[in-house]
Amino acid sequence: MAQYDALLKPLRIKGLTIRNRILSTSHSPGYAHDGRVTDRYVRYHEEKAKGGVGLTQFGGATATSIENSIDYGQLNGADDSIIEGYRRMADAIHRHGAACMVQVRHGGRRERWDIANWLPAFAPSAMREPVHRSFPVAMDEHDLRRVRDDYAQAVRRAKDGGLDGVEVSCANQTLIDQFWSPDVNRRTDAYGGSLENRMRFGFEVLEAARRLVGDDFVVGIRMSGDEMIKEGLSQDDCIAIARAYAKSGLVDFISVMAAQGRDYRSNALSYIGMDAPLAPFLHLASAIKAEVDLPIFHATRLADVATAARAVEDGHIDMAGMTRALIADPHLAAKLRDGRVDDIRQCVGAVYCIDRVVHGKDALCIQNPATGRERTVPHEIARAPARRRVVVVGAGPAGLEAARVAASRGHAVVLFERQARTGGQIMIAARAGWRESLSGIQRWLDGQVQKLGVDLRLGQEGSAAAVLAEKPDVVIVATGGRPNKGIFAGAELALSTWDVLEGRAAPAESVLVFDDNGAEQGPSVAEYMAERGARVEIATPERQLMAEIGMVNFSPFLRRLYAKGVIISPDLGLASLTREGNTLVAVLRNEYTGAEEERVVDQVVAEHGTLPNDDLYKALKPQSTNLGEIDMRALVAGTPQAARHNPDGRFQLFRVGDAWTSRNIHAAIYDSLRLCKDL
Amino acid sequence: MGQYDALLKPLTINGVTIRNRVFSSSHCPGYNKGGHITERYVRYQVEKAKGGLGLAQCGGATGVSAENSYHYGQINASEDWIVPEFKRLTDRIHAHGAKCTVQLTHGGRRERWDAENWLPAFSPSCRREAIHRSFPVVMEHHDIRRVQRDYAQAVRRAREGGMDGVELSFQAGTLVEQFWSPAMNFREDEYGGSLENRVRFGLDMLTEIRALVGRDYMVGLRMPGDQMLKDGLSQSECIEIARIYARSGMVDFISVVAAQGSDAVSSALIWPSSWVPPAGWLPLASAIKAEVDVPILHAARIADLPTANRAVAEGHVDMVGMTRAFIADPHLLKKMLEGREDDVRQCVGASYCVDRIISGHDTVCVQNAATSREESEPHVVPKAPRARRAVVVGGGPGGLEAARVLAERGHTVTLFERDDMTGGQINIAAKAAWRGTLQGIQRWLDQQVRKLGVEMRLGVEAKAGDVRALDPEIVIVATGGVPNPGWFQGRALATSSWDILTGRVEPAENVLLYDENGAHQGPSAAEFMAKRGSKVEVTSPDRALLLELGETTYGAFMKELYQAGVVVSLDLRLTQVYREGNKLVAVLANTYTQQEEERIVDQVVGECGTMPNDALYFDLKPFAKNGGELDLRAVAGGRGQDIASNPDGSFQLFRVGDAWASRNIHAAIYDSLRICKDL
Repeated sequence: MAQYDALLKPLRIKGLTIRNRILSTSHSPGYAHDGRVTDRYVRYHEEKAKGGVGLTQFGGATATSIENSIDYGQLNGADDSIIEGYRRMADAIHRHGAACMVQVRHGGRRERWDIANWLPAFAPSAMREPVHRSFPVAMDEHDLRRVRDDYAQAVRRAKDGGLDGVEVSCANQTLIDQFWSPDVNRRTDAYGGSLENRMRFGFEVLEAARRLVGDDFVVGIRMSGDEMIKEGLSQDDCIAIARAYAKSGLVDFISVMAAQGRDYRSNALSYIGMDAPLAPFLHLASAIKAEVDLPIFHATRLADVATAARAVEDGHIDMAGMTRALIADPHLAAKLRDGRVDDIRQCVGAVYCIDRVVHGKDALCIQNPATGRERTVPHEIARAPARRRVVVVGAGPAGLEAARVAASRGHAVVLFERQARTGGQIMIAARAGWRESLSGIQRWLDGQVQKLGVDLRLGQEGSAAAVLAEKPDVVIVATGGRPNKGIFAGAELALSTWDVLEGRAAPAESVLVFDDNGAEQGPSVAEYMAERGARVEIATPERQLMAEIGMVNFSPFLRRLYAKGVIISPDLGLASLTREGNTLVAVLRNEYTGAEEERVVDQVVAEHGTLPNDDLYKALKPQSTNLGEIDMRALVAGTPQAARHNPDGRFQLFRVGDAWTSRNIHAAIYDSLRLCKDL
Repeated sequence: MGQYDALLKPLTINGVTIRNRVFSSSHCPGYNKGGHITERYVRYQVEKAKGGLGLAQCGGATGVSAENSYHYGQINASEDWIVPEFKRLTDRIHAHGAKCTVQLTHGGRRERWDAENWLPAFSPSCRREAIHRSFPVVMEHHDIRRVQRDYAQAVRRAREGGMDGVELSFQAGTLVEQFWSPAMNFREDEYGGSLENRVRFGLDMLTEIRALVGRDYMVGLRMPGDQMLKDGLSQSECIEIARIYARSGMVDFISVVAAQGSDAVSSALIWPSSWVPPAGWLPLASAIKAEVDVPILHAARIADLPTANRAVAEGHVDMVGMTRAFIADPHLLKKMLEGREDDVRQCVGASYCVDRIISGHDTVCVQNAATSREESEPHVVPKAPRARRAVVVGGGPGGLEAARVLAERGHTVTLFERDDMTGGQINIAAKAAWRGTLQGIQRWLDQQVRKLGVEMRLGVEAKAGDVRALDPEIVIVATGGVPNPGWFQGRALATSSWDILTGRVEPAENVLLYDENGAHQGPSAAEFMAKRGSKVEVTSPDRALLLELGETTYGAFMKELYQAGVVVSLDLRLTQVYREGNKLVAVLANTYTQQEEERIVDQVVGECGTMPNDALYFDLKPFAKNGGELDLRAVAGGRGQDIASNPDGSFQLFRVGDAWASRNIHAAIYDSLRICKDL
């Protein structure tokens, strides 16, 4: 345990004592509704507090001004109606001994003009940012005055709401760092030009805030340690800014991140996932810590407690941001404290959480569906009143989760898996170069089911007879799917993405990858083959590749595909495939005009999701009490399954994951968790 | 008035007497939240009833089952709590003499599986649709029965909620049409194969419905007259289906559409913009009317009263849908009845309303900013307590609307316009091939301001002195913008999209069009040039073209561009243009790798929105009472402007539209309406 001691020491900032060094940094999971705190949002943070976190910073990107567009489910901190919400949040978090703060932020040009209030975006200069795409108003003097006062009021509301402090966002190229950065700020007045001028607006904001909240209230900033673009702030510039703000005495802590979020590529750096090693930007925080005399916070891929403890112990930072680690396991700190480090479900860096939010949805964890659903789905599974015999067939993510949850309920669980190991499609996905850490999902689930005493029958196909021989009360069919290459003439001539990733087919010289799925599979294979020397074209009937996944994932994929010379051809369907001598002729059809073009290649790989492996389900159906029917209203409400249509039935039968229909890892795990928690 | 007699005759359908032949067809404007009916939605519908509409078909795509998702702001009729909400809506519509129905829809595969309830999509077969991209579950018998029962329950809720009837959506590629269509249904059981089998699901559903609500409740359906889809339902099959359903005696009306919306081009057909000729699909409705004995309803690009009247008078349809016509002017019929037909603001077919919805926003009208904002914006502008002198500079959409609203308020208005006609950028946009009807926006506004006695100073570029000489109390600067080709080096060598569309610059032989805007301008100019013989490549730093616009516009543009041989190259940022002999060299950098490539062309056209034409604004600012400041909280809250920061100022000064920031026609008009309605 001593190896984690550094993490468990309290930290004092002014009058605030934080019980340990584990931090959840400001982020917006998209759970606020119309700018207001919701029950869902409170429970999400309360769970972290219960789980032992030291400080939870909620309300990422909380709005300060009427022109802010609340399009990511942020909080609206622009008027006093938020104060009551802050109090609810603070009460819930304080009840469990954690500290809490809110982040306030004016997005500047990082806003949309055509939603909510239909007000334009504002920025130091009129240049547009490629992600939010608004042409901003170059701020007039009255705009500067207004926003500065709005910021001060927003800070005051945090204090009135009983929070322990506030973080003023000067990161992600939101308004204040838009002034800082020469990439955005082209002004010729007192707010542009020299670094001193560019820092002026931020100082004015902090001074105005201090006039309202005094010196005792904790106010910190979050900033970049290096904008990582040639037109922007260098690491030296960022250190100079940190020094100036620290010296001003206006600031009580600095939270450091990387890059700036101007475009997809930069967002992918700021929120980097499995594309990077652990703690990739710790040096940026450490460099600032060496120069200023304030507590330094930092988050980015501090995914495990060992890395986090070392970062604090070695003096790089004062608080270790484990934001995504706490999304994967909100009880991380408590498990650490209780010596249950092995039970921590570790973040694998899939960035499913962030990618959902940046595309306007709610954050969900790829592997822990209880997070963000605390009202209906428990993090700790309750024991069932009676022990039942449960048979699960298939040990992909859905089957593993079903076995884990059923065993946690106290049931006797048999898990059949045809292959020699568990993991299912996760293990295929993890074969694509930089996506290896996905296998962490399997590792944890496998470890848990073993620990819970599940009767694991590897290498055994759970036939109907084998299942029935167990005399089950409940059967969960989690047999997954088989690759669907799509509906075109000559589909049998195409390889599946599985054929390639599992090594059954070696990449040939020239390859056409046809991706009619839009998720990771097609690009994974294109990269995999290009890396092994193939000349690859990837075609899709969509407007763009990866329509199903978000920018933090599509950006590294695109960077790698382009760098490896992969040609991307959108708007093309695959009409037919024929063999001609040693080669394949693919006829591609323009989705808009129907015009056809041909490709002559050595290999075609086609990806169109999976088709359910449902033979076992169909074989068992007539013998089940519910004839396989899931009561969907009950499933949604989180109440037990009660459908009974067959008086002769002997067991309840359910299918989950891709055996039901082709979706993703989260859907598979969520199917199992919400079904099995009530069995 | 005899001219419109056919439109004004009442019609009785299964005991419901509708006062005239004009209806607003079922559509979902996206105003409802979490499936609940909002006040905004009620007022939106009530305004049309006030305006004389016969039948308001409410609740486009209203959900019936737990698995339906509400991401377009639909109503959820799958639970009984909707009944009192229906009641609130129907009572208020009935109070103005109109009748109303609700459209009940199970989307089938046309749903997302990763929103709200996280339930999979369901369809007769496992064939994915390109827009919603869900791999559906192949419906089992228990799914079929469940959905039929859900539909019947939803009809019951509509009746209990005071709806005069329901429309069952068997169109837009939703579930029942998925069963009908051989391009979507590949079943081998009694629900697939022969036409008789494919229509079974819908007929059984109607039987279930009639068993619950009886024969004397109005139940109609909406269906395609031709799927316009390879291997889909032809026109003759659609007619046959209409005959079967009519003959069943269970259907009280049939509403006819074209196509099915399962990809972007089909969306552009089913919800036709100016890309499709007026009343383009009337023959499909007419052909069904000739074969069946139930009333036929039809909507699609019937924008004007003479066309609508003819459609009924000549017996093509029994009721004519003027859905978007009522969005542009909810008082359309009332104005006709009052003999003010000239005052009708006619729909121009921009499809901004539809495109916003299918992109997940709320519907707003490109030209009428009051529609759906009835809580704060008036359709009829009330007089001000005191007449004031107002000057408006610029006769684009922002300036025309400002002049119109100020004149309606009773103020004395002078309007300066540098050109010799009003319209501003609308006149440029309307030069594009199939977008000529945009001119209607200018025509209506121009005619209204003249009628209202605004003093027009055309061909006069107003200087600060000219404005001040009029001793105004109100000055609106609506001077628009100047084209911005982008921020690359050598931008002076680039031509703007304005130069091309207005004919100031002839298209050259080889053209690179760089579109960093993502709206109409770039593709309009590309199509314009390609159709005049240029070889055009369009490049963009975005992942796809037209990111600012919706799918119906995207579908039309892409078809035109590809047909004209335009090459589309994505993920490329233009960094530099330089001259080399007679040619221009353009340097493009990959957005993800920064790798550079070159193009040697005769012409580079750059499109990156506009920069504000704000010299006049800054010249006037020192003399303004409010220093040019707009109170944003007041404007967003629908309150008057009373900033008086400059005691020496003599007038209130506001800038609107692109003179403030580069946005679009709606933003310009909305700026003016909401500021000026309180002046």
